[in-house]
Amino acid sequence: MKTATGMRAEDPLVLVVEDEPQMRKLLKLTLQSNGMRFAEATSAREAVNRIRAQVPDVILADLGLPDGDGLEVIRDTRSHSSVPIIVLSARAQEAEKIAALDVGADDYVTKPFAAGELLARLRVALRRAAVRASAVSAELFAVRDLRVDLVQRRVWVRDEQVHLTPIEYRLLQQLVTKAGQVVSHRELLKAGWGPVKADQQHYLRIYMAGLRRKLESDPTRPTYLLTETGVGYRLADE
Amino acid sequence: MKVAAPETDGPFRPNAYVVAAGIISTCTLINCALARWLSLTDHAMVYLLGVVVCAVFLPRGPSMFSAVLSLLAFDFFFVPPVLTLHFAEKHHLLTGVILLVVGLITSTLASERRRQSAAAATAAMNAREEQLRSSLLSSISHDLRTPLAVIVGSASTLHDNRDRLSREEQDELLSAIFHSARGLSMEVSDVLEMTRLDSGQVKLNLQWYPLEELVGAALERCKPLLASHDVSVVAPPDIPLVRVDAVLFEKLLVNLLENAAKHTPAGTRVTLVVHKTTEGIELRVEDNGPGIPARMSEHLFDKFERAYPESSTSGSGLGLAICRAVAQLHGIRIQASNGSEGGARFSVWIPSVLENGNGHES
Repeated sequence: MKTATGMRAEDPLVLVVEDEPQMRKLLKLTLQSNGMRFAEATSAREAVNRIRAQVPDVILADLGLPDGDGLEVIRDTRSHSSVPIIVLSARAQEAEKIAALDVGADDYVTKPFAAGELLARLRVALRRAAVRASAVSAELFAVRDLRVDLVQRRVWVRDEQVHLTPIEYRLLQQLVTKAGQVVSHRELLKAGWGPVKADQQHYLRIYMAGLRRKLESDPTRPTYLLTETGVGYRLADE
Repeated sequence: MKVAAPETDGPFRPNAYVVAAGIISTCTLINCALARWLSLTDHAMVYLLGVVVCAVFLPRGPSMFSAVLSLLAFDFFFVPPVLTLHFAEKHHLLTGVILLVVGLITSTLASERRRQSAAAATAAMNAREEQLRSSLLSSISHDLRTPLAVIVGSASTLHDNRDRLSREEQDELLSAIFHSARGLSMEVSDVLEMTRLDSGQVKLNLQWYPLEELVGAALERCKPLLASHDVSVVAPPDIPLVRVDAVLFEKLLVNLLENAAKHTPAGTRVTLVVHKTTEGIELRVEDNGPGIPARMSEHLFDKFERAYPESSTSGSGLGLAICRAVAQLHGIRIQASNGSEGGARFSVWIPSVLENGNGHES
């Protein structure tokens, strides 16, 4: 593991947008002792300026900022970059999380969080970004006993092929694209049905239930298709 | 006597004034009908009765109006010279003035009494709220003090004695800090949730859900707490959809599971059973632990009830109260009992999907 003094230029640069000094200190310590470089912005305004000057490798933004909100930072960033953005959200604020995802955030971490959770989300975000950036499009996705052939559009669970309907496959494909990250209900509906049925969430749930029955050994205790209640779904990526 | 009128100085209500005039008119008619047998003083008494009736049932304004009107009517119709507002004899004027004064005093007294009883009702309500708030505060202060003490004590020990503590000891202290803080976080969450539910401002976001999705999410959330328990799910393959607020219902399930984890020893079997009934679905969280003590059964779902007060079991005592509040908001029944093997059993009955057509499989 890299120490704070041994930072390499290739270590990912995390921009932390956070107004609370204690939180910033903690995040700096955590990130730097885990092979990441740290930069900070203490307000939405400062964040927007820094990002326009130099886009980091991943942005970690607290949604509760004093001067305007984290959503502004996300919106502005998305107007010129697809850099991964993770938001820090208070517990039981589903609407806040959905709003952030809708304007372009990739994932969220709920406060209070353990260091491990935060790092896991950051690493997934960096992985996804690397896959997106690579010239070669992904052909195969695999996690434990689940395999998805994205070219042939075939799915295997425990070496047995599983037949999925076209909608089921599209949903799974969207989850695979963002494996390890939360996908909002709206995004999944768009992937499965197009922009038409944006408010018909129960269709989505019924199809997700079908997918769980086909892919999980125990649909009541899923290990691949995880539910983020009130927000969306997440496909495990390890 | 229960009074329907508002407080003393309510808004101008023309109806009440009309009623006052009506009552005084009725007194006048009675006085006319009985004129042959009644003296002037008796007439005044009849009007006084009318004014008292107004004072009891009408707000202060109209009842004072009736007092004035009664004097005018008395003077005009019965005091000689009749059909004028003159007093031929001075002592009749005295009768009239006394009629007016008594009428005004009665109106004031009646409205004062109404105001006081309303104030007493408000005070009683405030006292109840105050009591709940103080028991909330005392519960919070007790529940927060212990984990906070662990955190402050462990952190300061670590800070001051770093070099003298073995690696294991340091890990223990750090672990204690982590667990206490996490427990604190959950309690604060519970208190906030209960306050929110109590405020009556919660709007349910009711949608159709596959029940197993909520079960799965709740189990996932409780994974760390149930790590040393033997958890299983018993459910038929084709559970119908249920119409609930997902976030709140998940919280209900989580609290039932946490309750089972906290009150049973490690290794206890905790089973989540989904059972189709004629009216809908019964969802049960049951365990084969020590069960619910008999003395608890009535107050189990009350706030701040604990199986073993002052014990070291963490938690604000609000878990089951939140379950009940969520169940009530949904209009569904929740019940606790002891199962056939002696362990605790919590059941929730969710009515069937078939009330309105939409939501079925497309």
